[in-house]
Amino acid sequence: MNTSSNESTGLRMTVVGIGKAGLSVLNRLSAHSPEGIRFVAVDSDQTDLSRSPAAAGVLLGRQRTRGMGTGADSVLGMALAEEAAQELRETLSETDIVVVVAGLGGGTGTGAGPVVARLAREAGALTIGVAITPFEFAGTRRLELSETGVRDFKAQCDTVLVLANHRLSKLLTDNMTLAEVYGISDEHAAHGVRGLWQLVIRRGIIPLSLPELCQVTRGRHAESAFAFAEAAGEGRVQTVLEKLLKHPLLEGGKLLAEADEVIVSLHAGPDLTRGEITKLTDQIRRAADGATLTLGAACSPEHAGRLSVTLIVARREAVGGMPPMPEELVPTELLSSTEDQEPRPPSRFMAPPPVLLPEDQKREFASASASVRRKAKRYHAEQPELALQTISKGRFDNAEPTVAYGEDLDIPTYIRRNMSLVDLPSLS
Amino acid sequence: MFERNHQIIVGLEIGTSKVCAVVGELNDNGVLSIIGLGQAKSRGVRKGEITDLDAAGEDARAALTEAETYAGAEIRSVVLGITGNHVSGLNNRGSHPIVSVDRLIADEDIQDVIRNAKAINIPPDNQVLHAIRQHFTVDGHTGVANPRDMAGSRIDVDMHVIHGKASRIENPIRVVKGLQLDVDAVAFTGLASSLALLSAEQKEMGAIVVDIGGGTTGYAVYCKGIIKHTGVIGVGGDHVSNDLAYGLQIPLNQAETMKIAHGAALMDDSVRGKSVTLPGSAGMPVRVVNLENLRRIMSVRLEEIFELVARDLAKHRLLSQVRAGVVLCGGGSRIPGIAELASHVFGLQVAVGQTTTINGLSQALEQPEFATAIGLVKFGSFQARTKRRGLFGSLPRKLGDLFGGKFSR
Repeated sequence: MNTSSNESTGLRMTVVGIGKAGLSVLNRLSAHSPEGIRFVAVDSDQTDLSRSPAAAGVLLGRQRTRGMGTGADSVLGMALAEEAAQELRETLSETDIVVVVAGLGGGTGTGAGPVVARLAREAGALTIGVAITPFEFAGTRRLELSETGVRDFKAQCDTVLVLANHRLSKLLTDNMTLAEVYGISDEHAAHGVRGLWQLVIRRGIIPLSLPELCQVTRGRHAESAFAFAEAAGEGRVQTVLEKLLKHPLLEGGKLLAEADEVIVSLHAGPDLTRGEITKLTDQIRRAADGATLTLGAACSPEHAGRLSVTLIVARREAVGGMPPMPEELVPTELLSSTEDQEPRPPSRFMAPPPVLLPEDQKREFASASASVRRKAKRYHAEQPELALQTISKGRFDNAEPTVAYGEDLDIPTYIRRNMSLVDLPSLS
Repeated sequence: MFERNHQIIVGLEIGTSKVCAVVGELNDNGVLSIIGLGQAKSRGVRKGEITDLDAAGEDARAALTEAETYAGAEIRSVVLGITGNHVSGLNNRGSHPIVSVDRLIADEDIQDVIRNAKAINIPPDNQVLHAIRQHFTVDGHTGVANPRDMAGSRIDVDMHVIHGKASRIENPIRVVKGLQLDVDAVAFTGLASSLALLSAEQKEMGAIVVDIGGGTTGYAVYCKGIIKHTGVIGVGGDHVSNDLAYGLQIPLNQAETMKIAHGAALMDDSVRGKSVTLPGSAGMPVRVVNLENLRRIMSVRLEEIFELVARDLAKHRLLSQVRAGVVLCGGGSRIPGIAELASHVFGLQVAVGQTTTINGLSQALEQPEFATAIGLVKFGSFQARTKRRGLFGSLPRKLGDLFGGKFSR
């Protein structure tokens, strides 16, 4: 079997790349791969899959779409993944940690990603999602799709790290080619996965366990973000700190300032001193005022003179934020422990229909046309989560803005605090 | 109808949501009572500042006419309230050496030290609205209320100075002048509200007055009987309505109605999953509004307003000195649960203010919205009293004016 084991913790880690974005991250990772990670490529496109250097590949929709992709249809992506459930399950067996890397906004990543995550969990692995959301120029439809995708991912994974491509726009210049642009995004995702590997697989001097990580990032309404920085030689702490505090994925330290939980994972040579750790954590603590800080540190001889830091930040739900999911709606996988899994017979063609609660059924009956309308409304409710739309200030549009502590107070508070509104319940 | 020596004092507040005029009567014995009240919906004001002089003039005329009829008195002049994001307060200290042979502090010394304290560094286009004397310090001995005839070599005084942009203070004055009325005085509305609401005891213990108006939120802090700090934030009830209109996607006037009918300052379980159907207007389809969203939008906005105030007070290290608590007034204090929210943010006792320091129409005194206008009347009465005393010669006229700035007597 080609499952790998790592000497340090003995945990086996598998990275699954799904869809085009997932595969290109895999390419990058496998180019200079940290030892002991197994790669699995999952795609609905035969050509892309055949080019992937991954150890194992699963083609979705061999019969139904003849390996020609999903055409950005996430429902089809989901159905194809359910179809290939048996094959996927076999590939994902005998591994302890599964990292699912997917680009959201297309068909395969958005649709199949959460299914793969669920299968991995059912196989008994801890599952981490790395969700890459589209750039601004990808268009509204993809952005909207990615929003639902992130939500699905959160429901199926133990923890989800979101790489918001739109945050990277600061790094982009006008004359960059598209390949370069996506290269940057892939590089950041690869750093993230490598950082996870460091965090989880290496038995550090100050160990940090995966449950700890999950504790921090799970169930948070606001996205958790991560950033990676590396430096070597004299003044490496200062350089790393500067890089992190200006990191575009942390919005130049803004996310850090708003964070409630921060995980710092260091990886350095055996020459790491206490002074350096103190300096680093002090500065991060200062930047993330009021956040709980968890530190993990690992040393290895081959990293001598270098220092790499992965930062994972998460923000707790604000007071009066999203209500907790009603218990009966939480997917059962989330509630039951991973041991007593009765393998579900794989559905042949389509995802099983969602289980309707009695009141749901009543609602469905009551308004035949409601489904169309509800769908439209749901998109509106999601809108505030996208930082891309310009916000109208209503009656204060032409007035002199009221600015305090760098915030325009005329913009609704809930938008500035990034709170989302709940779905409208249908007429009852 | 009235005896001639009864003096009429009118407080006029041209607010963002309403124009409010309150008529007070000062009798021979210097007792003030409220005898009339008038109000009109305001159209020409945004964030506490006038944007349409004509509309504001019409509204002010309507309110004043109503008050005139109510009180049965003729209004010739008003005390005018000023607010807006441009108004701010600061503390300044002046000092003066005592050079006389006997080292006794004379009136001239007091005037000099106050003049020194008034010489502050404010932007050139700003105008001082109030310069309020706090306590004197004689040779480092603090908390001296009246240093006259005390012995010492050096006298200091702390002043609280409230200033704002001269051009913007000019606008409401122009509105009143346009109605052929005189302006007796102008006063910062946050200060005026505190005059109406706080008792001497509360000022002594330390209290905060937060006036949540339509367009602005003003606040004033008292400690040890003197005014310590004042400020304005250009955010008020209008912002709540605007947030609701934006977030719930309903017209502004419906948002206003929804705010009054279903609004509250706190999230609670009673609104979970509830919704209200709005009748469609002008051919628009029926809208369903989620009450949970309404509450959430509203509570975060109100919470933020208090947080901004608390942050400013914490910056000036005042929160720990306040023991009597927070008194709320203005239209925003009508929101259910607002006291609880404020208490949560400030960590202090919170009450919705009722004017207890003046007698008169209970209809006016019990409403937190009228606190500012009533306070303006009270502010006017201080000036009237000192003027009168000046005429009777119990104090030199000059000193009388000078003490006009100290309201807490």
